[in-house]
Amino acid sequence: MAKQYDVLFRLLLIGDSGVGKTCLLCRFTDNEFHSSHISTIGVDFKMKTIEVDGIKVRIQIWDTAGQERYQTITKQYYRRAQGIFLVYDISSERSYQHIMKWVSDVDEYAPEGVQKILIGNKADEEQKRQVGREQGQQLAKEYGMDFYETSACTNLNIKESFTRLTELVLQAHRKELDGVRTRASKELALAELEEDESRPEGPVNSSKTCWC
Amino acid sequence: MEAYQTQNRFLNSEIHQVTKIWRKVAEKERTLLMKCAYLQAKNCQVESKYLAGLRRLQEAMGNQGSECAELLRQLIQEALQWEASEASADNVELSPISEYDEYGFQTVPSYEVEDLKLLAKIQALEVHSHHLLAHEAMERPLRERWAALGELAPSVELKQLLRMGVSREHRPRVWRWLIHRRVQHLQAPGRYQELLSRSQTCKHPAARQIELDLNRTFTNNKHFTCPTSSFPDKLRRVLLAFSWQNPSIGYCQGLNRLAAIALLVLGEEESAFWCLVAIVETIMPADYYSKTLTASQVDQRVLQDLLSEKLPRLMAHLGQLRVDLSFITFNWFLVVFADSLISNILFQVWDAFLYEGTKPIQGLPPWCVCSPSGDNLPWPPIPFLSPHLAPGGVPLCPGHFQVHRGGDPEVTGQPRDLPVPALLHQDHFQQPEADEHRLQRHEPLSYETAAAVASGPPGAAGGGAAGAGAVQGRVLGDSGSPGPGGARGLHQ
Repeated sequence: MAKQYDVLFRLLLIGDSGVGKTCLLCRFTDNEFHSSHISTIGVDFKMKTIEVDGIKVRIQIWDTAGQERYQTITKQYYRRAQGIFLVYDISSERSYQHIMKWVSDVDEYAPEGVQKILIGNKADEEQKRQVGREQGQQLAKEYGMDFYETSACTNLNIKESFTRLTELVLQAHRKELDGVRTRASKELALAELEEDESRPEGPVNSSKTCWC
Repeated sequence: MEAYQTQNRFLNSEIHQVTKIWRKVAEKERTLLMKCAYLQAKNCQVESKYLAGLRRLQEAMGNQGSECAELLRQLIQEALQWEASEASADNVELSPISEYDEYGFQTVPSYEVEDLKLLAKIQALEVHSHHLLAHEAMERPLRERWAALGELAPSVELKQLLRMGVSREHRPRVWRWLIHRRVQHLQAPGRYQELLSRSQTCKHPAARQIELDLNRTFTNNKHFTCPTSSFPDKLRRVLLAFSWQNPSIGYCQGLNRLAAIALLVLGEEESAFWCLVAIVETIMPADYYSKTLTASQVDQRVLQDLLSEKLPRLMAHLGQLRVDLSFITFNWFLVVFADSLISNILFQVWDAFLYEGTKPIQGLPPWCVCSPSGDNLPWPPIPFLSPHLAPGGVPLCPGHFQVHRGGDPEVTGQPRDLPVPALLHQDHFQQPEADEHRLQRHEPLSYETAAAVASGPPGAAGGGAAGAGAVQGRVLGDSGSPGPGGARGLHQ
C-alpha cells in the first residue's frame, strides 16, 4: 500500500465559545461554511493531509468546546498537541481580552516548544468590529506569535494560517524530520514521539502505523 | 304511512349495503396500502443496496481515470438525483422520504462531499424501509396493547411498551406522566413562572452562553432554524428558568439539546422545563453537568475501561489511529444520545430512559461501536448515523457507524480524512470472542461485569478526572430501582 503520509501531528483550536472554531475547521478540512454549527461538546476532531515542503503531513485537528466548564476536559489535551490556534472574534472585545487567559493556560498545560498562532476570526464582519487589526498584531507580537485575521465565511486566510502553523511545527521538529525524506518507507508520528508515556490503551503494535 | 315505512326500510337496507361496500373498499385500500408500503420498503432496500454497490465499485476502481470510472460517476450522480425525478413523475403520494421527519429533523443531512452524500442517502433509505416495514407489522398489535393498558401506572407491561417506543400521538401524554412522576416532589404551583420572572429581573451569569447557543441547537431541525419559529424563544426561557432552578449548574452546554428534545415532543415550555429538571436532577448522577463535570468524566473513564476489556481489538485499532475514544463518546451520556441517534431511535430511547432512568442507555455504547451485522434486528441495520450533527460534523457523519459487510479490511476506501469508519469493519468481529458476540446481539452488560471492570486499577489514561477511582466506586456501586430520589448512578 502506498504511503499516505510522512508525518502525523496534532493541532488544537482554543478560544471563547462562539468565536468560530468549528467554522474555521470545517472551512479548512471540507471547504464548507455554515453560519450556525451545533455547539461543540467536549472535543471534536477532523483530519486532513497537506503537503508542506515536499513532506506529506497528516494533521489531526482538535476542536474544543469554549465554555469554561469544559476546560477541565480540554486542558487534558493540551499536552498532546504540537501546535495551538488561539482564536478570538474581531467583533467581540471580550473574546480578545480572554486570549491572555488562554495563553496562560497554554503555558501551564501545553508542552514546552508548542507552536502557537493567534487568529482574529470573523474578519468579514467589518461593521461589527470591536478589535482593531493592529490590536491583534500587537498582542501576537507580545507573545511572539504569528497573527492572521481570518474569515471562515469568505475563506480569508484559512489555508494560509493552517499551513503556517503546520510549517512552524515542522520547523520546530526539524531534527526528528531530517530522517523522514531518506527513510521513505516509514512515516513518523510526531504525536507518538512527543506524547504519552501514559497512553490510555496498553501497548500499541507499532510495526503497523498506516491505517489510511 | 306504510309507504313511508317501506321507503324507510328500503333506505335503511341501502345504507347497510353501502356501508358494507364502503367497508370492503376500505379494507381493500388498507391491504393495498400495506402491500404498497411493503413494496416500497423492498424498493428502498434494493435502492440502498444498489447505492452501496455503486460505492464499493467506486472504491474498488480507485482513482483510475478510465471510461468506467466516468460512467460510474454519472450513475452515482443520477442515483443521488433520483428522489427529485421520482417525485415529479409520481402523482400518487406514497410515502416518499420527505426532507424532514415528523419531529422536524432533516432526514438526509446535507453534505457537500459526494461520498458522504451517498452514504447519507443509503442510510436514509435503510431507515425508511425499516420504518415502513416496522410500521405495518407492529402498529396494530401495539395500538391494542396501549388501549388495553388504560390508565398509566408503573407496570411490567408499561415498561415493555415504552421500550418498544411510544407512538407519536401518545408520546406527549406519556412523557408528561413520566416527568410528573419524577419531579412531583419538586413541582410547586407557579414555580416555573416565578423562575421566569426571576430570570428577567436578575440576569444569571449563564444567560450569555445560553444566548450564544440558541442558534446553535439542532441546526438540522426546521423548528430551530426557521426564523419565524417560536422554539428558540421557548428554549431561551426554559434554559433561563433552569439556570435559577439550579444555580450551581446554571447552564452547561448540552442542556440546550436536552431541553430542545423535550420541546419538540411536548411543545409547551413549562413541561419541557420540568423534563429538563427530571433529567438533570433526578435521573443523571449528581455532578454530571456541574462546573467540573466530574461525573461525566468518570463515566468516560469507565466506558473506556469497559470497552478496552470487551472490545480490545477495537480499542487497539483506535490507538493505532491515535484517535481518542472520548472525542466520539463524550457527549453520548451528557446529552442522552441527542447528537448521536437518528430521531426515531432517539425518541424511543428516551421513552425508556424517562421511565427506567439510565439503565436503557447504558447498553447503548457497545451497540454504537459495534454495529450489528444481522438483518433481523429490532432497529435499523445502520443504527447510529446521526443526521443531528451539523453538516460536516465529523464524529457522527455517515461513515462513522457504517457497517461494512465483507470486503477487504485493509482497504476500506473510506474518505481519506475520516479515519474512524474502518474501526467498525466487519472484520473486527469475524472471530469474535464470547463477549463480543454478546455485544453484537445487544445484550446489556451485566452489573457484575461493569463493576468488575471498574474495580480494577484505573488505567494510566491520559488526563483522567482527579480521584476518578474513588468516585467510580460510588457511581458503579449504586443499585436499586430507578425513580425519583432513587438510584442515580449511571451504572446501576
